Amino acid sequence: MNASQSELLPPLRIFVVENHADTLKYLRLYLEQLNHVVESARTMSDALAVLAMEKFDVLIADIGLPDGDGWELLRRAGPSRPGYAIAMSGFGMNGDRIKSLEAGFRTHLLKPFMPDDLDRSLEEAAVERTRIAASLGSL
Amino acid sequence: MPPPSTENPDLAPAGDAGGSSRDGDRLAVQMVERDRLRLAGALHNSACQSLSGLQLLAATLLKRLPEASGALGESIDELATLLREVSAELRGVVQWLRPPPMREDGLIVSLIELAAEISRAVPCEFRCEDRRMEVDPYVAEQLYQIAHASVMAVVQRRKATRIEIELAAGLQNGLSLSVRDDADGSDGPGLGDESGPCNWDLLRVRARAIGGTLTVDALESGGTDVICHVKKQA
Repeated sequence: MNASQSELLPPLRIFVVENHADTLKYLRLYLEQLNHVVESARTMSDALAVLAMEKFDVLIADIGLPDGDGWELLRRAGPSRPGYAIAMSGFGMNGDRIKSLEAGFRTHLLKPFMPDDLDRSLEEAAVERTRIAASLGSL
Repeated sequence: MPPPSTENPDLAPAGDAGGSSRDGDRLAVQMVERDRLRLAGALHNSACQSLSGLQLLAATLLKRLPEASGALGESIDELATLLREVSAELRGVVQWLRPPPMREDGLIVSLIELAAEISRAVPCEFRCEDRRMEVDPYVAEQLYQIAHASVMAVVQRRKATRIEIELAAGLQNGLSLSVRDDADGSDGPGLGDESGPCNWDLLRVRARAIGGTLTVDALESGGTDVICHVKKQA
């Protein structure tokens, strides 16, 4: 996907859970540049508190968090988990990817990841949200 | 004439290959693994995180710039390309430092999956006549790590068009693992030299830790055959 296509995506409500300050800062900047609405947390417990109160289209979570991990976060979020979840980690090949898919993440980005890979996942999330909204509207 | 086998005589098994020697090798493997995990973690917490941020920043700047930004746009584009290349290299280093553990489903399933994953880069076949063979978990983990490192070395260093991973049962509960590539030799020396990222000494210690030996043989055709023989499972 090129820059103009990614900017054409409808704005998504995105929740980023990342404890590394610089990664969080630049990830927010990037997502906001694409006109998405971004909120963030830096620990699993803070993230669970936010998820219990607000709804998001997409969760982007680091696997390594100070008080848990992204897999546990998704499991404990239960019904308040966003419809589309993206995992990020600095480790692993298939083992971690499979664990992420089994936990309910739709994709697993390996740091340092390419922004294009993130764009592709967000495009998929936007398409799914549109499809779900349309099917609910037709009921 | 192919170069000789690259087994390092300094690291050959001790004469009696007794239990204490094997315990020492297991301890050595454990220490190296712990150290590599620590290094991989340190890289993740520093360079990987920073590079992720820098890549996102470069991509943000590119999106913010008007299309006709001339030299500035070209420079940021060049920066983004360099960051992408460094990121790919760093990901490779972290994967060498922290190879994935074997799947809980066992050695056979893990090797099938490894062959499938490697096939995305180079066609890779896994062969095993007895797919129900039982392998001691520690032996299985070491064999998997040897196979994983060997195929990664082939993919990164050799102009191979085909890789074969073969696991075969031997006499008296013995095992043999082989990773063979069909490179024609035009890409320089075989795999066994120490210039690549693969730590062959560690693989030999892994083999000894399960009562086995590891050889890296250059084939007449130019390919390489990495063979780990385990006389009897630990």
